[in-house]
Amino acid sequence: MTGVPVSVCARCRRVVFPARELCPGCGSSHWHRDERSAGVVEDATVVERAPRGLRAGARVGTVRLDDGPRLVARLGPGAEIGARVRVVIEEGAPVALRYPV
Amino acid sequence: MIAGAAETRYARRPGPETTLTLLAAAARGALGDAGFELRDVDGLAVSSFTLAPDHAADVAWRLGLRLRWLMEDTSGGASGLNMLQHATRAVEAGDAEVVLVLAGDRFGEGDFGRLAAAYNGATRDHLAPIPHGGPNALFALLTLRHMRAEGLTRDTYGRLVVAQRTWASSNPGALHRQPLTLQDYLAAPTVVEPLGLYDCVPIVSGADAVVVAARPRPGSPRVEVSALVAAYNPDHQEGDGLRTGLGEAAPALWDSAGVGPGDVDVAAVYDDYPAMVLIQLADLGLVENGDSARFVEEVIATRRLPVNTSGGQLAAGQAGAAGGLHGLVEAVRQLRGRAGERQVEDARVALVTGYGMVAYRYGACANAAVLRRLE
Repeated sequence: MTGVPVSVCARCRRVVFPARELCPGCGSSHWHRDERSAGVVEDATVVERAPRGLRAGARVGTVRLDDGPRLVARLGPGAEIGARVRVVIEEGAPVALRYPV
Repeated sequence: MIAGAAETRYARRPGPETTLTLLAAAARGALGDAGFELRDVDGLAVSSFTLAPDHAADVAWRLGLRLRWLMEDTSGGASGLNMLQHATRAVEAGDAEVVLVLAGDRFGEGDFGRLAAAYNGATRDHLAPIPHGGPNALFALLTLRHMRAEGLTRDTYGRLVVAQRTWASSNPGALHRQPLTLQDYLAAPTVVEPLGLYDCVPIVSGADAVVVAARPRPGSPRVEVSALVAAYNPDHQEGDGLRTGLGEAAPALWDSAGVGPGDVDVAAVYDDYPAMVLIQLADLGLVENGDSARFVEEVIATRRLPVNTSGGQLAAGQAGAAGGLHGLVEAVRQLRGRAGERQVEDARVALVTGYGMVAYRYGACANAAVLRRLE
């Protein structure tokens, strides 16, 4: 399992996800690819109904990574608001798992 | 100067008409309202999610327009005012005399789901795999933050939805015209907590149009665009979405319009979700003491300020990109005294907003215009 593929600005160290071309802080185009996993769940809900052609059922939430970026993730069991989580990529999607995992 | 406006019927299940058919119908309606002919038009702006593989030049050709000014906009709920901003300048500069501003979409079975799953690269790559089920989940999370930040309950959104539905009952063009009570709102099926059925716009097919002209036909009221401001990507999607960028733009809007929030007679606020209506109104300085709950009860529900008199998209329907023109069309109708049973008496100053294009977690685009009736 891999962490969230973040981009770290080579000049000002700003961490972003999803990736950008130019750094919103300093304008640099030089990025280091890295991974981050540690964060906290800020909001949580459940998709009970979805438009035709889209799948319902997932628990989703906002996770703030310790380095700053906020991302939308699928929430695993016990990943409630305020919980510290480890975020991994499963089948292309960020999934927040409650510590300890 | 805005010389006319029109909207096609909004249909939950479209018939054989295509996106082009809908755009053509709205175009004819707005030109008729303005007293112009197709041959008078020398500029075209168009926005649609379902026009592909066609583009603006194809619309010109299919509608039989010979033009010297052309643009296509892709900014969804912010496209209407963005096109208005460009069209107004084009007419002021003499680049065009009569600009047709069009937006519309036809959504057949499954079309909306396909659009929502690949709305942009970030949605396709990082949200659809969750699966997040479309924009409702993102705005459910945003609404939770709004409730927490302001200590709101669902009742506040419910009262707003009920007020808009009451306006819709006097709009023959609205999809949902039957009255709704707060109890109905609260008892409706949950879509994504805290959003229920009536917090989510019904997706429809349809089109809207306005005519921007250097010299409107004499004899009928025309509408001046007194001021228009916009904010795109104000916070890099790193905030909480509870501000739109209109907060920073508001002083310039009111300064150049020469009026203040208290002078607005009628407001058309982009309403993809109830929370966004209150957020935009707060950004623009209309919500006294930042108290949204009280504002809904004392100002919106009482009609002290008529807000979304068409019923808004929540009641009238969201016809894709036409949602970006829906509020403008309603404001123009109100200012020209053509709003029928729901006419606001002596409406002279209107506020219109646009909001949209979810880049990742919330809308990246917001704009607002102050319009004024000229005799």
